[in-house]
Amino acid sequence: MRILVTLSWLVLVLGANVLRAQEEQQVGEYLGSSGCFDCHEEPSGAAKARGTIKFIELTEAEDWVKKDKHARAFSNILETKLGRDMLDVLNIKQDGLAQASQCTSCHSNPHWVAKKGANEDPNTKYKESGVTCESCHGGSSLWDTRHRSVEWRLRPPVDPDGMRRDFRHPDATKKDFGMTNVRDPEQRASLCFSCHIGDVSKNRIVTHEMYAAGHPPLPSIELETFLEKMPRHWRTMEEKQGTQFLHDAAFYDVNRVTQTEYRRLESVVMSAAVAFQTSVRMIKQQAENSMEPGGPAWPELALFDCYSCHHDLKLPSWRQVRANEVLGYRLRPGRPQLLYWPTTLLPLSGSLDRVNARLVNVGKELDRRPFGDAGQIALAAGGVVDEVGVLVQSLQGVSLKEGDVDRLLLQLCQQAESPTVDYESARQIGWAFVVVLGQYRPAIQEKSADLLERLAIQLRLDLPWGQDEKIDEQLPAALEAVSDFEPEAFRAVMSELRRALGQ
Amino acid sequence: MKRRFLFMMIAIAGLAAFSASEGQDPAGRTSGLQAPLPWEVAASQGYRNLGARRCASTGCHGSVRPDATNDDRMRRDEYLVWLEEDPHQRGHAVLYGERSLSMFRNLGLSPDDGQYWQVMQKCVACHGMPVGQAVADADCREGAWEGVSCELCHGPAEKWLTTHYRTDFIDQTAEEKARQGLFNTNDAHQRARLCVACHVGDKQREVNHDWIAAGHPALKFELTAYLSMMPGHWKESRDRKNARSPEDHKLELWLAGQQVAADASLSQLARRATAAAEGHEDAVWPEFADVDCYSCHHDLGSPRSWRQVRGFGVDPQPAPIRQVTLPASEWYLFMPARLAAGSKDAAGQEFQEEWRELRRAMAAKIIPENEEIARLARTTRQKLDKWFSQRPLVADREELTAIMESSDGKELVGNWDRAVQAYLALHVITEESGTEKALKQIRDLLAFPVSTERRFDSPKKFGSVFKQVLAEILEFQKKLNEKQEN
Repeated sequence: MRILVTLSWLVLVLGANVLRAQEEQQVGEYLGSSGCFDCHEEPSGAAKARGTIKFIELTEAEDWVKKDKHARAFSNILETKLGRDMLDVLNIKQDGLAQASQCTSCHSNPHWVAKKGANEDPNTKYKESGVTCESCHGGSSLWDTRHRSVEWRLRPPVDPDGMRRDFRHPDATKKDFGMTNVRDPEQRASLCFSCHIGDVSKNRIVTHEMYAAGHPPLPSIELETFLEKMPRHWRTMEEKQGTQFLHDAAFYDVNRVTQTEYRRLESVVMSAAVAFQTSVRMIKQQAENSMEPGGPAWPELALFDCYSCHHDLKLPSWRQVRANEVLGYRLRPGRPQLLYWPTTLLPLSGSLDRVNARLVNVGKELDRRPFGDAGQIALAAGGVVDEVGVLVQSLQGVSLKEGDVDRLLLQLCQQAESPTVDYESARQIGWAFVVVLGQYRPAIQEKSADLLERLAIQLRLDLPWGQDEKIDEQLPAALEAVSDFEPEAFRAVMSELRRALGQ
Repeated sequence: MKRRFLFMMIAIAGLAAFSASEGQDPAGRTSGLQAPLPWEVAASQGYRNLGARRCASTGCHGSVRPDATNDDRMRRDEYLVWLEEDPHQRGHAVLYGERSLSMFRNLGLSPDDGQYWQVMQKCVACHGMPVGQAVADADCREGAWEGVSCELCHGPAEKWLTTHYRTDFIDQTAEEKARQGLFNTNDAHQRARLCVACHVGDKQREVNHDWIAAGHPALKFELTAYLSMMPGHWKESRDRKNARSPEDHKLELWLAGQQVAADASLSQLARRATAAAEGHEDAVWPEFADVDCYSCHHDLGSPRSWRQVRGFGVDPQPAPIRQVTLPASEWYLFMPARLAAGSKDAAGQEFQEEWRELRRAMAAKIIPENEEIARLARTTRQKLDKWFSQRPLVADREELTAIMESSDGKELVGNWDRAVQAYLALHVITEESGTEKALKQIRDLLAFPVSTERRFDSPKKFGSVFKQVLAEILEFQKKLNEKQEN
């Protein structure tokens, strides 16, 4: 018996090591979202009586299915003219959409895809087809029943050393059961950006052909702003901290939650670094794939800055006047460049000397010949991915303080002065500024309401949210705003905001 | 004084006669395509440029008002027209103006930098004429420079300045005059080659996309349109007389311009592709200047934009989208290819098929195969030249009207370049036929937006008007036909 126990431990330990090596392997299956509605649609009387709703609202599924566009990610393709036109141009049959992995990789989930989209019930369709609960929280087959117990709160979300274990192991973390730690700023950002920016390894890439067929341009993304407009269906740690609930102290302990007040600030910084990491990783992945026999052709135009080509030719033109620089390297005019916006908020992370030293190699290769050579780009982008990985790691667990609020606000104002600011990067700056100011300097926010309003109009900072906002209707005005953008007008507002900060 | 005046009158009359005699004596079909250009003569023969002021005597070409007394005579105010109104006069000065300074800044160049002067050398290949020497200084910093002045088009005057008004000179053939350095601008092909060398490019001259992005205007040349904008310092009546077919001299110029510009643009594409294939250090491939500007430089449209409706690629491709690539610019080849497609001539068919092959190869990949493009650009050029060597040297109105009618309407306005070339051709067909108002409607639809704050070089919102453009063109043709029938 002892031998058996020893052996089983050995298997588990060895298994843990194997799992560590295959960290990103999918754990657990998707069960579908309908089951989630049993508890997360409306709090039961018991939940209210026990005070569970101080910890969790229990209306998440209801909020998601009625307000969140993610729930309609799949059905909207078929229910909008834009979506149907795109399918037509790309020669994808409407009843074959669930098999079109280039669409479903972001617009649906494995549960729906496995069922080939065969569901006639319109109510269930909206619950099951799009970006559902498990798309973010992880396939729930191993944790669905377990997470209903209050004790689940006491289980750590991940191993602090990154160790992975079999879910039967007594020390198995939530991650070992397949639950994603969406409270972790890095993981959350990676999760969102894997679609909102892309992940070539998961076939999550809006190719230039898809754009040409009508896919709306993916906008730049400041995560804290976007999360609020999902709309947010969870209580933040700050909101939880204002209440008392069962096992609250132990919950904070296993989740390594300190009494910090600057969680959103940290999230702005971390998500900015992850956005850059995600975007440069895509370039590396795509360039590497292009070198494989039968791989995609290089370049994939969708990885380049849309508006470096798609702009009116006009004089005077701010594009011409600006020094064509990326982080200190002067680029040749006339060569398509990579997206600028993912680099915009990067200076908030600290010193970028090492990242810049690598990034320059990408710029030089793009200068050497238009679009660069796939092999050279893969190599150069790979170097950046490595360095930005170190940067992201260095941000892990960093606690920001009161003094960092003013530092970051000032840095954002300085970034607005950068010669490379375009519409997308201006929005990044604007969104981050509004989040930080609103959260930590409400008095200045109130005083600067007119300026913030001007900024919001210039950059269309107020995101269209809710399921009634249709992209077909939004798109013309959104594209017009890109075309009409004038950096000087943006800088003028940011400069007044800087004065309002007393800087 | 009286003798001087008489002498001058004889000289003027003689010059007029000499010009007319050249037109009546076309020296073979292809000589205009081979004659050395003025700066080639200057370089090969060592003939010096003397400068525009040597032409500017009030009794010669510097009169303060044009001579309107006789259509056969020259204007005599050529120098002042050039000096005061012709943008060529400012050709060198603009290199020191705000736009050029901004271009240099954008290219990261400053006059303290040796590379600046290397680039400047490339600029003056079109933007200036060295005076008093055969070739430019090594670094462009020494010597006197003029804009694009008299001798850059008419040839270095060292050997003919003091003789060109004498009857013994005037009686000489165009070839004999050319040997002394006087270039025959009366020949439509020679004139076209002269303009095209800079306005399209040749071995020593090119405007690439890097320069355009830095601020240089993109080159979109069409001979008759450009000549009408210069402004001309010659009499239209004399131009007519010198033409092969006086009543259709605009059509002759138009066709020569189309041929020479198409030839030059194919040569340029072949040169660029060959340089890339041979791995030249400064080769740029793909060179975006060879691509249709507005296939990239357009606003991103509303859902279901006209481009999506039109489809992408060389052949009509409604759906599905397979690959979006960078289509070859059609500015210089669209009309010659339409003419060829409309002809029953086998050489014409071969040329337009080859051009289609070249377009297909350009559109096959975002970075096309440079060796294949070099080969196809060369063969397309050969076939273009072969066809032109066989077809009449003047396009006739009916031929042009017919090709527009036989074209699939959508094809005629498939992009801005095509639509504008069609408009310019209509302009030539209908000269002085009382259709200016109808033409203006088409022009207004195609024109770039006008704003007090900025100048646009792109057809913003072209998509919303392209159906209208097509309707206007077709309506225009209908009226034209009715008029001709009546």
